Amino acid sequence: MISTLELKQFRGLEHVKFENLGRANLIIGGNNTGKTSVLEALTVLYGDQDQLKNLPKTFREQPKESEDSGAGFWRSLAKDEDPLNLLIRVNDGYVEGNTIEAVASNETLQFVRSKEETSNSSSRPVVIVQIGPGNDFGINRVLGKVRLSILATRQQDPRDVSELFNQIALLNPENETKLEELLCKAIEPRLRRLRYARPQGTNPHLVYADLGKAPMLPFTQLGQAFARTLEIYCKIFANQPKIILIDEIENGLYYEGMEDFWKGLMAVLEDQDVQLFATTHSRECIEAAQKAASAMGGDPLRFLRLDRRIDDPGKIVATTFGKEEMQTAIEFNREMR
Amino acid sequence: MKQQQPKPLVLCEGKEDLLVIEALANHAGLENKLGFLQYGGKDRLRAYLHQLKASPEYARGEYSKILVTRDADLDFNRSWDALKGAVKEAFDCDVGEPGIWIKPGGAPELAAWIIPGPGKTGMIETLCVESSRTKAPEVFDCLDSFATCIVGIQGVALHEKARFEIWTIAAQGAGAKGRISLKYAIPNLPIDWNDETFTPLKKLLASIAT
Repeated sequence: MISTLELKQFRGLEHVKFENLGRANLIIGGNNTGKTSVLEALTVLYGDQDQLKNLPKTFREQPKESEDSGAGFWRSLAKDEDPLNLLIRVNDGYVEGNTIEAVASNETLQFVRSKEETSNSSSRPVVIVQIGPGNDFGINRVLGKVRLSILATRQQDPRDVSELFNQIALLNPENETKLEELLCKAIEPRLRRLRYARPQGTNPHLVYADLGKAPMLPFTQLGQAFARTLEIYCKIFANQPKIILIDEIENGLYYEGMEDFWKGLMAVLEDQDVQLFATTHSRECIEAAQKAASAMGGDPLRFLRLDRRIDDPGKIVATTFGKEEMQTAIEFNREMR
Repeated sequence: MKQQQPKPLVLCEGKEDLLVIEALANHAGLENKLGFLQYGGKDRLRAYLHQLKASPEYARGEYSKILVTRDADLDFNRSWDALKGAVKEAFDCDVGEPGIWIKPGGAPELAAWIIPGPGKTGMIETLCVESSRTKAPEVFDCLDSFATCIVGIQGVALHEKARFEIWTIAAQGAGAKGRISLKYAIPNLPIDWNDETFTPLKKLLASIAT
């Protein structure tokens, strides 16, 4: 698991450091403080070729031909004009080195990973971005060991979610049962089983839910919370990532179901050894995560908050805290977002 | 866009402490110059300080100075050690002596204070009563007689807080609704805000505002 994350001159962040990270990390903070940038930094570190290629548009709605939808995104990755100052540093148990730095040469942005404080450290490129001309860019990703799953704000196409579900049983039939049990416990107590099917006269294949009454219903009819939860669980069980990134995790979840959603999610993260980084604006979502973490015991949850200094509005500072601090804040009705 | 200015913060043990200290600050001409929060009793202090340090206001630099107060109760030294320990645990710095400002790296200035004052036992109620004895001795003749009478009947001394509460009720006249509320009682109580018992705390409050 990643235990610390430090970013320097990355997007709008001059220098922030998150320490003592947990299994589930909920990134909070005001508008335009850089919450999504944290997810983008993790994608640069751990994303595969396709994830990097899509990164300019993964977390941000951009017009197709916008400068920021292509090369402009990579050009503006470094906060100041000199991309050589850009640095993303993590402590984790996944990779040989723990520091990734930008190395620029003309129209090439190269990220190298190097081991810190070793005499014979050898830096090796992990991501090479060829920028320009115009809005074009090319990505060359040296294969990483860590699998990353990303869920953006918008919900995925139901057909894609269904295809993911279909892979789960093939990988491990027990996981399909586990997923059904978790969904039943967290979201839909009537759920008996899920099936990947294409009933006669329908198109395409979708996940159908057996709620004890015939006929089975396509999962899209069970509400947004069910669809969102199924999507997240499928991503975890089918892709078996080590890290999952979710932007605006509260999307599609209703208040009453949030605590159960979090309980289910934290159980899956623990069970499948996955670390979550998610952003949210929602106070209800934060409190639900807090309640779920308190009810579950252990210490799975961290809040990673970004704040703008009042004496220097250009400066963003990072604070990491756990469920105890959040619990005290809730008791005193203090705002912690 | 108008830039927000950092403000000093006074942390008080409870609601009564907050009301009295805020009233004292107002009498010292510091109205609206300080922020006040209460942490719900000495047992909550550690948790509250950790939460405060993790709060958005702290991270954004909205506090220029933080004064942490608590009551001495029956043992000044023990209370001071507990207060110092809580501040050290949350902010990783030693406040040294009561009322002395320190500046930990990357944090607002910090000081701690025990009420009623250095080396003394008691609580905020003690401070109020002590300051008022000279100003309204007849009230205390009555109150002390009543307290002695209660001891005679029940065999135990009245708690300082209970005595204070009786005093606040007695001092409020005929208004029924707000009579047990210190908030409404304060303006009617014969508290001498210029009494020397308040001087050290008043000086400390003035030093936060500068």
